[in-house]
Amino acid sequence: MHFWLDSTLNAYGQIFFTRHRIASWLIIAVTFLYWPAGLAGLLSVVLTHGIALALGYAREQVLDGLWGMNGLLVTLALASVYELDLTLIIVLSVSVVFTLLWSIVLTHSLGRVGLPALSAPFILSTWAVLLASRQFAALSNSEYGIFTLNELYRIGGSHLVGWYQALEQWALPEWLDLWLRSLAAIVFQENLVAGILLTCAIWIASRISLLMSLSGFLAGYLFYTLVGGDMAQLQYSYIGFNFILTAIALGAFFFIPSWRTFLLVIVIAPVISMAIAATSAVCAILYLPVYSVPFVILVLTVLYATWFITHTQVLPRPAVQSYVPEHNLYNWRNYLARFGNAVWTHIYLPFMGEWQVSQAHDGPYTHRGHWRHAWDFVVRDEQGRTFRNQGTRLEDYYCYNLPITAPADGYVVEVVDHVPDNEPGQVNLQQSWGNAVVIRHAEGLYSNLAHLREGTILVKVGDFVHKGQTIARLGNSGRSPEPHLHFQLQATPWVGSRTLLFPLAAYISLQPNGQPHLHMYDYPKEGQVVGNIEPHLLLRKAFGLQPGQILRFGLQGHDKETPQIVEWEVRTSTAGKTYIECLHTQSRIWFYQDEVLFYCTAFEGDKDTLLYAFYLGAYKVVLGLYAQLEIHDTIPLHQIEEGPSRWLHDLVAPFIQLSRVHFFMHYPDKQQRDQIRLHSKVIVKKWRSKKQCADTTLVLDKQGLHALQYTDVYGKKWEATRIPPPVRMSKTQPT
Amino acid sequence: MSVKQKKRYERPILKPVTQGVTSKFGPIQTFKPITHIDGVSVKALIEQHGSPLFVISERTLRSTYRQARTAFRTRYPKVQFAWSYKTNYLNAVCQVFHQEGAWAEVVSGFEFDKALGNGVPGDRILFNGPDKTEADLRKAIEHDAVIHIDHFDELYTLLSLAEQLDARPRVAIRVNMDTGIYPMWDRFGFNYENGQAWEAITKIMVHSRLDLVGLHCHIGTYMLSAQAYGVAASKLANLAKNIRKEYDHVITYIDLGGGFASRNTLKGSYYAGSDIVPSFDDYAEAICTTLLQAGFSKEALPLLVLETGRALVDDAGWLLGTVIANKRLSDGRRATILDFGVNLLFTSFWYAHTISPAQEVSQHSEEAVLYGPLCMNIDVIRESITFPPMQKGEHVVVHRVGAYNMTQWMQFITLRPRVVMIDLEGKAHVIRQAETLDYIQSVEQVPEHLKKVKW
Repeated sequence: MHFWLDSTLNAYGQIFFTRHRIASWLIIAVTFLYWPAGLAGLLSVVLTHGIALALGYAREQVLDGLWGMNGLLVTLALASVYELDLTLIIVLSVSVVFTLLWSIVLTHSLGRVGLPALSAPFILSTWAVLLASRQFAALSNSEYGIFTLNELYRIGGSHLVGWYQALEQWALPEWLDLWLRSLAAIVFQENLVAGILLTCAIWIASRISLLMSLSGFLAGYLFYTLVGGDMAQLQYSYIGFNFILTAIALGAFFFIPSWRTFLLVIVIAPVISMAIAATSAVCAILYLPVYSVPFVILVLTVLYATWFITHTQVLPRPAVQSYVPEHNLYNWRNYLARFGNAVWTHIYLPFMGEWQVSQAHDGPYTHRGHWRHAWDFVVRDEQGRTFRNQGTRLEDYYCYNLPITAPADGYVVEVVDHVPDNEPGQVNLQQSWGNAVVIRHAEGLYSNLAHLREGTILVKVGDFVHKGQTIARLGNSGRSPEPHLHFQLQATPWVGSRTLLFPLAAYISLQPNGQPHLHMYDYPKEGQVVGNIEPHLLLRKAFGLQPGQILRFGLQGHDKETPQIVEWEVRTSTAGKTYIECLHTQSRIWFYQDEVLFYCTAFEGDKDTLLYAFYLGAYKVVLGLYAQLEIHDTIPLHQIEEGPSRWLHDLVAPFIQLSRVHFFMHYPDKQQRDQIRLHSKVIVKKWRSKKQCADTTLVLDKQGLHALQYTDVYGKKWEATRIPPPVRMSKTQPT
Repeated sequence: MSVKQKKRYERPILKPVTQGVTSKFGPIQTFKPITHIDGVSVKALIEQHGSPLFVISERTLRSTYRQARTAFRTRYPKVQFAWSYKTNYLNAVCQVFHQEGAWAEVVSGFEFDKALGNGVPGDRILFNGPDKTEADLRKAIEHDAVIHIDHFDELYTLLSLAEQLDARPRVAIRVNMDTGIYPMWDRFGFNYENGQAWEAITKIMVHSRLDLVGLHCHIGTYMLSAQAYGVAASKLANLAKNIRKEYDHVITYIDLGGGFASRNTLKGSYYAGSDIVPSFDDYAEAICTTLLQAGFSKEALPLLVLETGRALVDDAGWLLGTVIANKRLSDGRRATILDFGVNLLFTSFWYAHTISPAQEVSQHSEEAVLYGPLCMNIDVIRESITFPPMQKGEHVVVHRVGAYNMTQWMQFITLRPRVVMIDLEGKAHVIRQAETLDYIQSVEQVPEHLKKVKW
């Protein structure tokens, strides 16, 4: 039942690129303004979906609603042209099947080049029916719209007629009148009521969509006025909706809304005008209506053309289509802030303990030109010296002979192990790189570790090395006046290749006062003291979630007298992404986890759940225990604020970001054995005000997450404690 | 107008001429006076706090600790130091190490209380030593400290205590072994080679009343061979792996104990200590390499615990003193009597301490004996030292006295002096007041019938 309701609503929502329930219901209501057509439309959606399912197409594809929408539009179009009688019903049933075939063909053929089918199937099949039906004498033209008042009188008596006339005679500005009627024309209505309802639907679904569509529409209107175009053409068939739909598609939906897409919407308006004129001219030959042809052609053209823009941030597209432009925008902003530098191969620091960067990228000595993206590391003491005693012997240097480890998994592709180590102060310019190891981590990604100690390399070409495995000892070979590690990433497999700008996945830097700081996808800077994150057993246990694992909690407080049992399950999606699902509400947290980090990437579902509290409380966790570590991150605005309070913000959001949601987590100053308390806060910063939205304490013990205390935005306190699974006696337990 | 100052009088000495840089008696000794410690004048310190005076440098404490920490942290991912209380349990010293992150390693109920008093959480105290009373053990169990079991009798006591208290105490066993050094320390813990260690482990695992979390060994003291630690680490790692194999139980830490040498020169040593003593890096190299190659899985890699005492604190301690008198012995050697002796400088029984004058002296030196102030024949600081002539009232500075002296000193014949610590800003804090007669007598009691004496 859920499926039928969802798929049907989605089919209506698809018209305006939304999945908002209320918006979809409003659109349905509008189609029912001429109820026979509305009913026929509804039936055709269900029929389309039924046939598609019966033929064995994927439920997800049907649920998407695009096929249903095309069937719906065909029916609405034909019902607006012909009288709804048995003949038409037969013709409609045939055309629904026909449309479905077109939909399938077009979604898949266009899908291959990454394009949507939009309403192209509708146009093709409606044209086909219109052309064919000229020979079907039994179809009679519809009288709807001609005798509107009669219809209204039949439905609502004189009151409704009065209302209707008052509304129709409302002295609206020309553009507004045209806007409302153009909107109504999308679902083949022509009255103002439909226009008003649809405006509301768009507003509820997305403020950005409304902003973009109005702007696009007005730009087109102005263009017509300026060039003295045939406004009657717009007025007559209300094909002004081409401006509206194109603006929503390009300004809000397919791209992340921004000032760029706004500009695109304005600039493309005259092009739409021309496209309308051109297609009208062509269609006129066959006496066919233009419908949404300009919209389909232009959107497909722009989407295809922009596909080849190599700079990813000019017109970014949503990675996961949320069907809400605002969410796409907030997700994207948040993604940039969190993972702007993200890379798929995770490279870590190639040593143990904390070392100092003595020369970073574009360093003053040797990291120049082709070798600018390299790092040099040394170990320094309190006084900033790199050696003890006089520093006259290699053994005096703290980093000399320290183990050097593989920065990530990979195959060893080159080893140089025969260059003698220099005395301190001497350099070997003939063999600049000295002893070195090159490891291949991925296609076109190699790491190069140089100035190693002669004869200490433990690996040979072809060996597979694991991250953290000792591969050599640090020496002073090559162009190295004192022992230091040269570390660089490169795209080619040779010692001394040019460097590649590539960030390190995660590391901790220490301030001079010992305050740790987390870096993700970052580049160590000169002078920083850095080290790998050392995972802590308790944190690993609590956040090392395995698919299939079930977590059970007893939830107290939260308006309920008796503890409520909450169950979560860790799962993996078909795309290999991991998520935690609340088994009662089907709410989900999408998360990422590796040896050193756990972080949530998205939340969907019911926000009045313990799972949402966990999302806000464990938004990002470092799996190493560092006293006084402060983690900072940002959460997408829509995950915190929803509904009317955000509407005004949404309108300006494409241009400027006024509100930000900050996540802070504080690691305990003092350690307790077998227990860790992580304290986190979520704060919304708006313009000049600050509001705390969540305050969470996570208590971890040896078995994992032990308890979660959460104060939500209303000051309501939640407290949940783990309910352990049935105890299995281990053999070392006393009996 | 310049004030004419009277030149320092130096009595004439006779000295054989030595040529070249070194002879078999070592390098030509020059006497660089130590006039300041961490920027604070020695003279001013003595004027303010009296002589003799122990001085501890907080800067040296911290930098030595950090050097040791770095040496291990850059070679092994999980390292924890535990401050060996017996080496120096002045609270100020302990707190410096605790601030740097060290746990506490104690060997008696008294030290246990001291650690608790310093605010060390019970679960970060490692309880070593052969003499733990039942009361001590109870306390340790209550505070969730780790008890390092020394002998079977202690194991049995613990088992019955665990039953009584219905607790599961955390324990480690102390293992002694042959690491190829002489003398082999086999009086503490259970022997590895004869199977006692495994027997102890078996008893613990079978009874399951105790939670075996660690393995401990302490192979000796003032270890001049770093490689011995490699041997010890590999033997402990073998035990840990066998426990994993036999009992499916993961050992959380391996404790290599202490014994790292400081740079003092042992009596009878041919070379100076600073020339032959392994560095922290040498010890770390031997231990960490062995543990990393021992074949532990990444997740079960044990925490490496170190109870280094001497090497962390020795360099940070100084003893300032004053010349009481000079005299000529029967064999013609000069003898200088100082105001501190073996009562304060207990380590002079085994170290040939480096002693420097605290003010400018002549470049000439002669063979001398340094005596302490006690009226006891054994009170000799240095039997033979080449030393510049010093005059009554002049000051000397003894190097590297941080370890053991402030715990093993004797209240004998005279009272013990003040101890000051120079903080990072160069400010001297008194961390232990000089003893007074009342303090010593406060614990004495005289029976009534002895209170009156007729003269």
